[in-house]
Amino acid sequence: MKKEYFIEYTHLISILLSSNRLCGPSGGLVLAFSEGGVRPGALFEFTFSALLVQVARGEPVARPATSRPLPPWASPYLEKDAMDWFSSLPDEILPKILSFLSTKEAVQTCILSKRWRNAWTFLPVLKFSVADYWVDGSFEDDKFNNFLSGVLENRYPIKLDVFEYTNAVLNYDSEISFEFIDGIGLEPRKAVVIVGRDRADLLDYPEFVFSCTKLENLDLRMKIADALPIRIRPELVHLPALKFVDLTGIALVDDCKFTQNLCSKCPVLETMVLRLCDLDITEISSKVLKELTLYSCSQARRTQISCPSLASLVIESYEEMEGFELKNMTSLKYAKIFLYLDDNHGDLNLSSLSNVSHLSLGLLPQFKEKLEKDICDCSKAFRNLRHLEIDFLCLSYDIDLVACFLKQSPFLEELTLHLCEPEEDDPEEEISQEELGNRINVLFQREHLKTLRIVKPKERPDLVIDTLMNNLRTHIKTIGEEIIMCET
Amino acid sequence: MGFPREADDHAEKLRWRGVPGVGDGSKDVSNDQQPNRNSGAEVSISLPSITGKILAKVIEYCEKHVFDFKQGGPGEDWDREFVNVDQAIIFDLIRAADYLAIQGLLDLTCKKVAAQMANKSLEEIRKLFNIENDYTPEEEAAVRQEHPWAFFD
Repeated sequence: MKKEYFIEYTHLISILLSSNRLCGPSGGLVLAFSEGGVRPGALFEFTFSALLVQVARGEPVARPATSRPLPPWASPYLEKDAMDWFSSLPDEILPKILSFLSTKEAVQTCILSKRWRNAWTFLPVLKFSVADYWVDGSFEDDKFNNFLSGVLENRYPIKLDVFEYTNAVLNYDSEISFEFIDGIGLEPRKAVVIVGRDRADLLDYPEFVFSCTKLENLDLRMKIADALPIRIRPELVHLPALKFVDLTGIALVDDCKFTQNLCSKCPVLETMVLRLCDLDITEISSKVLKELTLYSCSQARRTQISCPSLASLVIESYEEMEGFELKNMTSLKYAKIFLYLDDNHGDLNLSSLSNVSHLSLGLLPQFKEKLEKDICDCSKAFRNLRHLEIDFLCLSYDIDLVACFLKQSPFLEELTLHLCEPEEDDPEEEISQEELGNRINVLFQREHLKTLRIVKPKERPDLVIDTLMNNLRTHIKTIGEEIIMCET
Repeated sequence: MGFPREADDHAEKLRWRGVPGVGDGSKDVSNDQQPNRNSGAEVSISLPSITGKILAKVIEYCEKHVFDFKQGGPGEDWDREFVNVDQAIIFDLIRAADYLAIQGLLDLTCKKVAAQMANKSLEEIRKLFNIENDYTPEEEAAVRQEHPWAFFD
């Protein structure tokens, strides 16, 4: 007998479904509805063999005279001509839509109609961009300053989610006054400051972003036209709630104490991302940092990274680096290292990576040699290593390193090799089995590998990898799944 | 009421899972309710709140995005294509996403509407969305006076 339930949506509803494709603890959604309106908010879980959804459309409802939105059970678009599209939306959504516009455009909507008069005052996101006030080749600083103070004085004092300031206009003469904004006591959750100038000494940005008690996320991007990363020396760093910091184009120097302050004065700082920064610091040392990511940075000296809570370390750099000394990496689970080490003294102590469960390595010059030396001699096994990914692997030659890893990681489940384009002048050798035996001084065969993935370079989808596969099969008795794919 | 059965296209197996980010935060979901397993029963449910078409769209979005936490989601191209639809559907999706507290879908659809409003004059916006200007000229002037810093184009 089919039962028909009248479903009355309440605020608790979300949709539960899953399909055969979704499996595992992260899949699916929750369908919950109340029965008969009697117990609003009750949460049900159903397993259906077939769900029959009876589509019901409510009776057409006359558009209300006030701006009260239609109840959810009425479809408002039955009478289609010339209806105000926004009339079906509740008032709270209007500021949300406005938050995707620049604040300048958002404020101007107060003239659209009476309903829109104060929608902008509830904006949870403020975006100020100097480019908006760049008219006919000159910057109208008065208007910008007035706008800044006008918005801040007239907005409804709700919690500010995001504060964004962009000044990427490289050259102008006037000055922006941040006195008002620094003095008003804004407490955003997230601050994004993007600044570019033609001269380092003219760089200006609001200082209040360095001392906000509620700031959780700071994204700071600096750019000086065609020049190197810039030093910043904030007067005061007081960010007790900071969880994420993302810095681009900043020169970190021991003198300025910026990184030291971030590490020592931010008790909940979990994630630090440095992009295109210049590192002239002796150490990054934090008891609470969980994720550290360095993209395309440059280095003036070797840096010690001492973060006992660090779970993820990513260093991706294609310029010569001095290297890092990793200390106290007891919590490290995930490491991705694509490091181009300086000829003479670049270094990275790899034994500290022996506890990771997921390792991704790019065989860039010098680093490759270092790896071969450290890993193959390493007495410490990679007991926790489950996933290993090796990038820039040149066909046939670098199998030694892979073999070493296979030997040192007794519980390895997944191996992914990204092959790089073979050099023009390297002949694609056919290595004989005997020669193979001679070359590989690691005679080791492991029982089983769950997944082997080989990724061929985009330009060479036809690349013949039989030799490589044969090599690998001499080291691995059984392979669960073999995937050969092209780079995406 | 004799409505068409779109149901046959929606035959799906449903099972309980939990996904963070959906229906959390502002809505007070009582998580300690015991799930009521009703396996094997064929149930016919009228959902008068949201039309079947929109429900299907919402399910499509959720299905694609449920992997966001693990694999980063389907990407901007898919999202862009997903909201490349009639105005009526966009606005219905906004209401559905708001009601069902699906943040990602709400952001995506609001962003689409905002994109239609961007770089347009007020009159153009009014025309595009059929917004009736109920200000008298005097009232409008008064508002402009109130916030002179906002209007100077």
